[in-house]
Amino acid sequence: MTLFPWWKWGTMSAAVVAVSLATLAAEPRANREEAPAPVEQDASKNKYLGNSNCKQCHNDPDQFKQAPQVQYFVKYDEYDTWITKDKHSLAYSNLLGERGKKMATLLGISDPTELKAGCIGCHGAGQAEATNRIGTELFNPRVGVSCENCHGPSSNWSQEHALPEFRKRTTEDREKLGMIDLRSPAIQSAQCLSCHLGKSDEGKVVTHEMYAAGHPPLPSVEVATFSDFIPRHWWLVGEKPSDKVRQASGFVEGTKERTRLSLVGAAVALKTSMQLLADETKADGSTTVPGLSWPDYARFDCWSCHHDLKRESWRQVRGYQRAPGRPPVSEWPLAIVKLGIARLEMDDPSARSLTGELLGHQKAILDEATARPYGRKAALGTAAGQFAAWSDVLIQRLSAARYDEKVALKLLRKLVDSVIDEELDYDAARQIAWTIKILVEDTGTQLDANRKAIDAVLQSMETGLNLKLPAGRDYKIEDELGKGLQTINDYEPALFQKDLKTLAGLLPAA
Amino acid sequence: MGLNLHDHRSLVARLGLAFLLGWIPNVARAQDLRSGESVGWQGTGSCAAAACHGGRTVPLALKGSEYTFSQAYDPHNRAYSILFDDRSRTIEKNLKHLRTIEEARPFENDTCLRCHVYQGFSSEAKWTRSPDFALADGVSCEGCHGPAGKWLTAHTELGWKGLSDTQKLVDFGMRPTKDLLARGQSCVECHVGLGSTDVNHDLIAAGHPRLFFEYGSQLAKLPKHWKVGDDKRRNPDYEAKVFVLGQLLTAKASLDLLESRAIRSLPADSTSPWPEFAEYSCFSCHHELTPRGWGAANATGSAQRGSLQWGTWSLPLAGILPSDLTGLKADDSSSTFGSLRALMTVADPDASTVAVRARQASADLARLAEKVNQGTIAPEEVRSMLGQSLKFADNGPKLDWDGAARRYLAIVALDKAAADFDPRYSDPAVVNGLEKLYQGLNLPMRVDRRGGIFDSPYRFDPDRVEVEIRSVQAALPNH
Repeated sequence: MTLFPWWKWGTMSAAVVAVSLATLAAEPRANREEAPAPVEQDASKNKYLGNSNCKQCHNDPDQFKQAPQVQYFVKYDEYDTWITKDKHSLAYSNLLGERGKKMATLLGISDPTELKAGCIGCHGAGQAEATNRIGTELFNPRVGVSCENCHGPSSNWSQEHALPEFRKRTTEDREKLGMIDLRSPAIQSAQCLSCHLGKSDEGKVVTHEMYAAGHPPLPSVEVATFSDFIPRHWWLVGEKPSDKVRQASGFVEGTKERTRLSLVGAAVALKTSMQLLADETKADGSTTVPGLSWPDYARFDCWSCHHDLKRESWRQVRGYQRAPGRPPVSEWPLAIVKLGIARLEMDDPSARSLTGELLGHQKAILDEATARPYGRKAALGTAAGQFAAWSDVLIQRLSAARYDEKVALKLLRKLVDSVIDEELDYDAARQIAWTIKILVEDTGTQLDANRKAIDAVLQSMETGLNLKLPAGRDYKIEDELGKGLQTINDYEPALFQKDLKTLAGLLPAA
Repeated sequence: MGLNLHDHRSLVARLGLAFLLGWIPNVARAQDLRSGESVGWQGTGSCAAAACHGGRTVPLALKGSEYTFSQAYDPHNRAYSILFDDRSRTIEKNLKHLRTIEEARPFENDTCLRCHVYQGFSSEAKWTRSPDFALADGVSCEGCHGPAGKWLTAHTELGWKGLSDTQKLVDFGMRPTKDLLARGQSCVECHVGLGSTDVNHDLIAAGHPRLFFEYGSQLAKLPKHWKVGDDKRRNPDYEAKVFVLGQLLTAKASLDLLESRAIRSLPADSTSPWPEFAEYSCFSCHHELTPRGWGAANATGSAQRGSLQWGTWSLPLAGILPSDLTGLKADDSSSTFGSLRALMTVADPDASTVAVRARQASADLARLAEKVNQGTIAPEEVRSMLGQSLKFADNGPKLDWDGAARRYLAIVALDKAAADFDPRYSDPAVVNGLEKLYQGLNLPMRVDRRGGIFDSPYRFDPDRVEVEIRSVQAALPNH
């Protein structure tokens, strides 16, 4: 494909996009068989161009309003949202802020922006693509986590993605060109969690040493909620204002995308956490990934150790599934997985067998992680690898399932009933509360009769679990950290259970 | 007294083993039960006769009323009955993953009874106990004095007083509790641990209180059925000696326990935990959740960020103990302790190497303790130790809670030791300063929303402790 050079792209872009959109609107799905030739692309040839390129189109919704034939399928103010409201744009500068500097001193790092320091993987550029990124004139990690960190290196799609042909590209083709298909809930979740949980082969590992030096604890992640708080610079497909664009995207009206993202994201969190654990057990000291070593306390549940000692301790009252005093892995990546299986069972009763498999994997992890402090390394790694592979199948099936208002209500009922008697830890409770909120919002008008009372319960959960995430660029990490840690310290499962019981009484019978 | 501590230990171990296996001649087997006196553990009934140690004069005279006094005041006698309370049952419920506390029977669990009745207790080895022996007496006379089977009669006979401590121990099994080293040794076997008698992190997490033993303060607190005056007459350096011996004994017992922990974890099919978190400062992990506690500002001198601090309670305060007395150097980086600390500070220490080093270090401490026990600590050594305990290195690491609490206990012990020969050390200004220091340490109780009480040093402020220590220093004579 011959195209004008990218540096002239800015002046031409509006026109091209307008044309492409008009074409898209005119010939939606009929001609899909005329897709561009498949891409034979070596992924390593995909280079990062930096966000100034993206800014040329994605920073001004008004220029497109002038072309009435344009069908909006993206907002065109993505750059503006990111630079003014999204703290991902601070990821790099935080390294050089007060806390970042203090951490670097304590860790003995002279320059936290160097690859070997292990920070930049999440705070600017993923390590795997680092040779493609750092040092090129165009990509500047100093702008933080920007467009290409999530959407992929754009050298081979930056121009083409504005053309009508690109709409016909398959996910696989796009990936070969370097574009990450974030419309897929599984891919989006994996992309978010690669930093927010960790991915060793991309150099995204928060070690215990980093935490001890002052890195804020990584919270549990409910992908749909986290996306909302970024705040989203994109429309969900169902939110796109043009019927034609929604149709062209294959959207089934009534689909509840946030519910889907929540369930798929939970399964991806399980996979990501297990993969990270498995990778780390294989660390033999020779790895070049900063911080990948075994044993690392960071792969275990933080709050099992980091709690003030008190009586009556809910942990002791709750009892232990295995030897007390040996930190297990985090509970939260498992918190919503059973709900995923429940969703599959709605269409296919045989999916019930997944519950047995899940319990088997859970047992293996628990056994191996607590056989001794830090677990039996090799066996734990094997169990984690198998659990990750198992969750992959779950992710695929959950991605294909249908989610509408009725499903959301059924899931809500199921979720509340299944955890009402469980004494969950803080992270798991938070994960569940966020999911409950998403599900409530996705039930449409079905809960209107008790809406006010339900909102009051949600408000109570929000206070008790600090559900509101620090969004925006003007937050202060010290304030947020203080508030967050205090909430964790004060957390009592019984208070969350009380809210769950109230909520259960407000939901219509199954 | 010529009794080597190390021999004493192994002797005690041999005695325990002998009871289990029935080797020792004169110790009864089942067939001897009729001649109850030769059975190892006799129970308090044998001691409690009104004419012996069960005197009932009012107020209780110590001589002749030791049993009556202890029954009334010594908390050791509740050691067994406490196993019936909810907390003990909860601990066992958690350890054994029982459904309810009603199913828990800690009062039948040898792991508990080994300290809550006597060291080395085995419910299997019933033949080592007289039928009159009552678990309900808790840690009773024989828990410290040794099983009375062989000395019960003998110790009332003429000629008993002519025997040496060694003869009484070796031939009769009576522990020389008048000797401060031997006395401390009986304490640490439970209050620190011995072999598989181990309050490890599993047990603590299940709800058992952490053990933190300090000989001087524990001894001072214990309602004594003997006269401290006698102790002081035998040991003019009583307070100082108890403090120094306590440092060495606690460390030695901890190292023996560490060796045992390491060895027990070695077999491939071992279920014994390793690394053993109880070896480390609780508050390395269980610290307050505030931005201050979380990383950055909480630098308390650990070798590596995020590593656990080993032996914060158990290792000797080498900076305080005079090196010419104990042979310990404040900077112990090249010593056996130093190399052990380096080994133990990595996330997953090598158990075999640790076991070997721990044994070496323990042997060193045994020699030092023996030397201290035989000598006399001079007033100027006491003053020097007190001076050291009040000192802060410029730009040194801040005290963590364990460090601060141990400093406090050391200062109290050494101030008392100094007061033994100079009453100005018990001046109200000093006492008042110590009280304020104690308050600075005191676990600040905070009640949470559900009425839970925080036990950890939530809001511990090392700067305040430093200020209080300096004001104690200012109140001391010759400041």
